[in-house]
Amino acid sequence: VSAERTVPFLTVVGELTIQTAAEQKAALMALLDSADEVEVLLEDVTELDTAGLQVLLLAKREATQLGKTLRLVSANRIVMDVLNIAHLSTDLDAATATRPLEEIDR
Amino acid sequence: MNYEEELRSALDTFVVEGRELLEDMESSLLGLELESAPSEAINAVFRAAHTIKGSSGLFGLNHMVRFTHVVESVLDRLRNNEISVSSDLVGALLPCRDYLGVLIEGLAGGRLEQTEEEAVQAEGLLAVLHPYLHDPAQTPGVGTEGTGEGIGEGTGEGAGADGMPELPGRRRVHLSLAFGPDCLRSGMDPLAFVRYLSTFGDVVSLTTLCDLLPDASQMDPECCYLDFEVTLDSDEPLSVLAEVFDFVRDDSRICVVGAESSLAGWVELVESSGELAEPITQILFDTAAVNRDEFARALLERRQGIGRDGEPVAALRAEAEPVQVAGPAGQAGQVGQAGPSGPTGQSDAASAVALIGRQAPAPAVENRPKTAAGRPAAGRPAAETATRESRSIRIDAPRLDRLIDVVGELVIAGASAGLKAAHHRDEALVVALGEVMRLVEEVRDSALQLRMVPIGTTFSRFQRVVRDISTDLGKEVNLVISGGDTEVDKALVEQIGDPLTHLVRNSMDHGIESAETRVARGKPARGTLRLNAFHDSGSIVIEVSDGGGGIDPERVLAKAIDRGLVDPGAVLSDQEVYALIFEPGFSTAEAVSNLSGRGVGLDVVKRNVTALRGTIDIESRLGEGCTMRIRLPLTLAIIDGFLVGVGGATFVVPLDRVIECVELPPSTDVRDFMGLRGEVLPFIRLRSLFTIVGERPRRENVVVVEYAGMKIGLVVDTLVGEFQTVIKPLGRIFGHVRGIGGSTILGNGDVALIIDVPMLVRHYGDRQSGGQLAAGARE
Repeated sequence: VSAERTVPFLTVVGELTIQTAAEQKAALMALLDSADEVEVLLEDVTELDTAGLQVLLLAKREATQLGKTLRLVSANRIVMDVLNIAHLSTDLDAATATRPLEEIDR
Repeated sequence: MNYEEELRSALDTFVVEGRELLEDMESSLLGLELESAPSEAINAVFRAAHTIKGSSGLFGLNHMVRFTHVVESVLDRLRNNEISVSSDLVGALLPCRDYLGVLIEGLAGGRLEQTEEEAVQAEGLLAVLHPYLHDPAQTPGVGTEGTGEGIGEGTGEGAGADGMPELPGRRRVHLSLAFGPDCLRSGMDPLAFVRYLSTFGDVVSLTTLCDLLPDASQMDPECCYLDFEVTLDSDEPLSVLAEVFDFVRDDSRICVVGAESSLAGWVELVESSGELAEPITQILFDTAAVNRDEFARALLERRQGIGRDGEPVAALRAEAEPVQVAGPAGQAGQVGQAGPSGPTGQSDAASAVALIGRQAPAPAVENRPKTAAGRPAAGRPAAETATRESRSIRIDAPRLDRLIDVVGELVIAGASAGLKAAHHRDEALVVALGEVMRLVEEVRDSALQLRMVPIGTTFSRFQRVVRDISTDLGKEVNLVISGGDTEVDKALVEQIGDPLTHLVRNSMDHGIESAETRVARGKPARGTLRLNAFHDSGSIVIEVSDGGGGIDPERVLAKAIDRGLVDPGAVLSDQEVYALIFEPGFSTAEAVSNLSGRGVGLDVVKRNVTALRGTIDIESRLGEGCTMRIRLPLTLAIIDGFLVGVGGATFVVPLDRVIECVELPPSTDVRDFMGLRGEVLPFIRLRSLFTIVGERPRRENVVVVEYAGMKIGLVVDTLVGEFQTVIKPLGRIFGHVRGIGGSTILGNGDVALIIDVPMLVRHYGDRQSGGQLAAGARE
């Protein structure tokens, strides 16, 4: 939990995979319920698979449907790598082109 | 299956398809000159060439791609009315088609490279085509310098999105990956597959579709809802790419489609994608792999064809409508970068038609009504073709044979049960079994129907035969085909080709006179040969008629006497004289020509037809022409038989030969004939013919059979009744046995022999001469 954050947020720690997808889904939904603008911090994700990505996509879509804002922030290399494969931006919109892997390595 | 095997099986499919396409191509080429509006035929030829090019590209058969590309370019110009149909052009294209046939047969034999000889041949053929290419700038890769460049261009849909020519080995592939809902739970990570896939080439575009993701409340986080649409440029064959997904294939929908695939392939992809049809369609358009107009038309027509209207394609419908109305003006709706590349970027309705119906099976194209369809109207038959394509299944012949074999056994078993039930006089059982038998018979008929193919495919081969022979003989002959949709057992179709070829050659060589003679006789200089087929009471009748000189009975008779086939003093009817031309070693032609006249041919025809349980007869009018009529049973597998008993043995007489059954008059003990309504009926005692031991019963029966207009009686002990039966050929060891056409197994497990009626009738003829001598000695 960081004090710099001005909106309610959730930090995903550890893996965001089929193993944890159910609880992460519940956590994300709860987060969405809490405010109109929320952030999900992805810097401490150690593993992200299709199930995890799917939960993020769900949360994002749910937010849009509710007229709320959900931002994915500080995605680490592991997350960017997966988004890159799926050709998605951090907004979870379709990325226009494949970015070479090197670029992600900031 | 390892990679080698997969390639092998894919190649086999290509070979089969290639043969069909070439057949199609040939018949269309031959039709070009005859039709007043040949656009449909041109499209059919183009389609065939294009598909062969595309498929050979998939297998990296670059020599074939290169060659077909030139052919296709010529056809494309033809299609765009830049050049016109001429006898010379058809004459130049036909050998190209033959050359492709040689290559494909080479493939069938496992030869992927062309031989030196073939390479030289290709050069020669392409040189002939060269004048038709006219403007070399438009067709890169012409002739010898071709490197596969420009492939896919000129078709408006093949090449890369940005007009980049695709390298021969590298192709654009679209993969539609909808992983099964349970894949996550079973430890499969779709993203891992996608990641792995990207090692096979360059991912051009990838879209993650989450349209199937349900509402948050219903969403099961352990269930997979995502769909990935990937466009990939890869050197790998489609099969290798598809193999990536072998682990998840079972409950997933994985579609791998090459960018050069036919429109039908795309339609299939979209149609199989269920709720995702709309977004996927959009993606296909966006990645420029598919032309919007053509696709919309194909999809719409397919849906209308299947009667599944009202699917979520409202947007497509709106776009398709003006195309259908406007026809050739449909360019307006064009989308994507596919258009500007290639000389035929303009996709008019005609090319849409060409693309939609591309992989149509040959017979479907054959049978399409050949009305002089203008371009806007050409959409209808194409729609039908597309529909048929989606409805037909290719089945291995052995599987079908197995089914028919089993159905045959079922018929026998059913008949056996019926006999037993009748024996027990159990009325209810008999009725129930009657119903079962009715259904079994229905199954049998449907199963046999599966083997039925229209004879038109065989007939259309003769366009080429006639054309070639006309050239050889210097006679002008038109071939008129009718009854091409008459259906006949596939096995028969395969075996009737050779006899028919002989008859056609014979008619053209001996029947149709030279142009001068024809004119002198007041006939049109161009002769006409007719091939006709129709069903007639359980048989198929195939006629070869020519409007030629007819058969001169006197000349035939003189020749026969000369050859020692007939005694000089013999008096023969015209029919009998005509039949002489089927005798071995008979030929009336004064000059032995290249084709016929060597005295081999017609006797072979007769033998082949007889072997198929068929008959052949001749109708001729001197000076007016001649008709050879082949009559064949519809199927070779099952016959309706008439079961008779002699002593302990049972025989089956083919029912279609049986005229009637009468009781043997008591006073015929020593005679070989009896009176039947004022006529003399000669008969054969099966008991003595087959030397069956045992007492003769008090009353005997006569089964009257007919063959070739001749009636004879077969004397038997008992008449058992009708019996459907599967013919099982006699083993080779019984090959010399005369009078028996095969065997069958009865319901009680006994073997019954099937009487070969034609053989017996002939046997009677032989005996008659011998018999008279014996009678003379007795008197």
